[in-house]
Amino acid sequence: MNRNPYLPDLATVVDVRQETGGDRSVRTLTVEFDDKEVASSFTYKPGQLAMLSVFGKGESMISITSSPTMGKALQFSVMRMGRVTSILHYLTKGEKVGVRGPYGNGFPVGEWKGKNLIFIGGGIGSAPLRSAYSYALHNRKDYADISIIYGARTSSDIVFRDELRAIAESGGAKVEMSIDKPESDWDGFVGFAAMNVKRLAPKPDNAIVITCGPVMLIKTVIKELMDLHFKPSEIYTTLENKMKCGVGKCGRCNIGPVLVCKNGPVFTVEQIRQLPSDL
Amino acid sequence: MVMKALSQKFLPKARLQEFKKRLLDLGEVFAPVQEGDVTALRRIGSPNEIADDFDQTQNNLRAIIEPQNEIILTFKDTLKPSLTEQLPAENKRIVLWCRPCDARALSSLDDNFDDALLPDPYYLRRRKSTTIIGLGCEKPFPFCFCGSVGGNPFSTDNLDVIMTRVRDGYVFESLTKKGKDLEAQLTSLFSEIAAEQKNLLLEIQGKSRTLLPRSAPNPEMVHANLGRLFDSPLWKKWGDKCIGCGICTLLCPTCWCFDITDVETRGKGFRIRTWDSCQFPLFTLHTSGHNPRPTKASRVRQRVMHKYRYHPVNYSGRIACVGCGRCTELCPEDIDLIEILNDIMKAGEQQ
Repeated sequence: MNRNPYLPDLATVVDVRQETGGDRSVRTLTVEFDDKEVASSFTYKPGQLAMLSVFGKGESMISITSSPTMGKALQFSVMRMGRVTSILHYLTKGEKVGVRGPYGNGFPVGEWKGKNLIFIGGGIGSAPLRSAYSYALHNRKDYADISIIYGARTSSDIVFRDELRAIAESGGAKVEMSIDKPESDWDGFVGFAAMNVKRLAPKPDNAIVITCGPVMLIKTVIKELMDLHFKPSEIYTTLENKMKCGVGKCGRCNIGPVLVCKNGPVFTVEQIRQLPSDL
Repeated sequence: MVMKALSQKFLPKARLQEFKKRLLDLGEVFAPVQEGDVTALRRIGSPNEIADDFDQTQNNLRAIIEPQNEIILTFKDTLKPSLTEQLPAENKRIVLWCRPCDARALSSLDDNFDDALLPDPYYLRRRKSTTIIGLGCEKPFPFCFCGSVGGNPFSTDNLDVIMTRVRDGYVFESLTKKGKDLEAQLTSLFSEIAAEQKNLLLEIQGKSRTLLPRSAPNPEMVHANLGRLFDSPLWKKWGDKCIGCGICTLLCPTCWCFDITDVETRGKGFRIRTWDSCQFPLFTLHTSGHNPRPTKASRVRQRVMHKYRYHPVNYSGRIACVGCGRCTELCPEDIDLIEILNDIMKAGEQQ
């Protein structure tokens, strides 16, 4: 008999990093599987998901923030939003979580070889993007220009700020950050991510865009990209929906006949346009 | 469809009580029980609990194979947890007298739970260890329309045995190996079937089709029309009538949606799977407050689209509706699925 798909594997929190503050703060948990065999057999692609358990509190589907190029530990950047994510924020080093997965299709990073990659994110939408740009930066010679355009509400809401600065300094990718409202010590762009995209006007030639963030950001960014003549088949996004099983059975994450957990979460804009407007 | 029986036997009425008793010796038996005004399939402790003459059961096979609540995992000590999966025992289970439409509905549940990649062990253990004895419907019920969705009152899909009430007893037809095995264990109770009884059986089967009280539009036409009607005003019309109680889904034999939640008491924890419904706003509500299906109209649309459009798209044309009529019969607002289907046909023609 196949393995029980609802049975999580135990993992230990080995590191906790506070990314942002405020009531919707973000923390990155680094976890390692307790069982060595599980640790070595768990393989994943950038953009895939895993169901994280806090036993007695419940499960939440979280995108894997780390890239498979970063070693065996898994990272999850979690925004404090609901019951399970709030409890995840209380966890400290040494505590246990359950992990099952990986789920979903992930980003087709292999198909993107030789292309310019443009990552456009906002808020916690950078969690899945980080998995993909970290992968691309690790395999830097496989890709042409890489740029990261990221917007947050305020400068203290920028997730992975230090990491993004380090990437910019290393020259691995061009990084453009923006915040929604002016701040005295901010010398970058002020305005929504979509406005920053309009200002920067990236070129669609030989390019792939990967965008993730709040629904409004995704919608406005796609509109700007259309104006810049990007093709819907060359814009990727990763969707979320409420999920309980993660394995295509509990019935709630569908958009029309498509299940976000199983057929997604990564879709091109071309694919999304063929779905009912049930987003 | 109607499968050719592997064998036909006759169970005289005088041996019915003994038949029920013997079934109870062979495994856990689930059978119709009269509870006030309603009949329901329940686990039976004594043969006398079983109702011989009963209306459509309010619940259906889903309640037996994928129960309303089930513990899927337990854990001790939530801080240093040790996990124990709680797979159902593979005891032999016998369902006595489910209606053929309810057995047909298992094909939709199988589509969902028995996929090649990640089969659901809770569902499959119960599914495989259950022998299903159907009872053909010599007289369909007031809301039945199985004939319009590819079924019929004597469909043998997913049944191991089909029984038919004839004069002075029952015809007992084994359809599968499981059915044959059961027959072999009860062989002393059966008589050979007489030519007269065979003719009677055919007569009853033929007549019952003509007694189906309702018919629904051709499901393939509904399917085709739905492809163009996502934004139709018809959903608001029905959504306005709906109160969102969810009964149409909770008692639908092809519905499977579930929730998974944790319960914790004094360091002991349970992970529980519970039936859920696409008719509830919380079903799809994101923690951010965003809800992809925020209105009753969008949720009524989801139910109908899932049965008649999305399921057939994903599973080679199979409509996830067997025409049992429960959603219509039990709706407190008298929302009639067939009227919705008629609206879909009308709106489709206008487009």
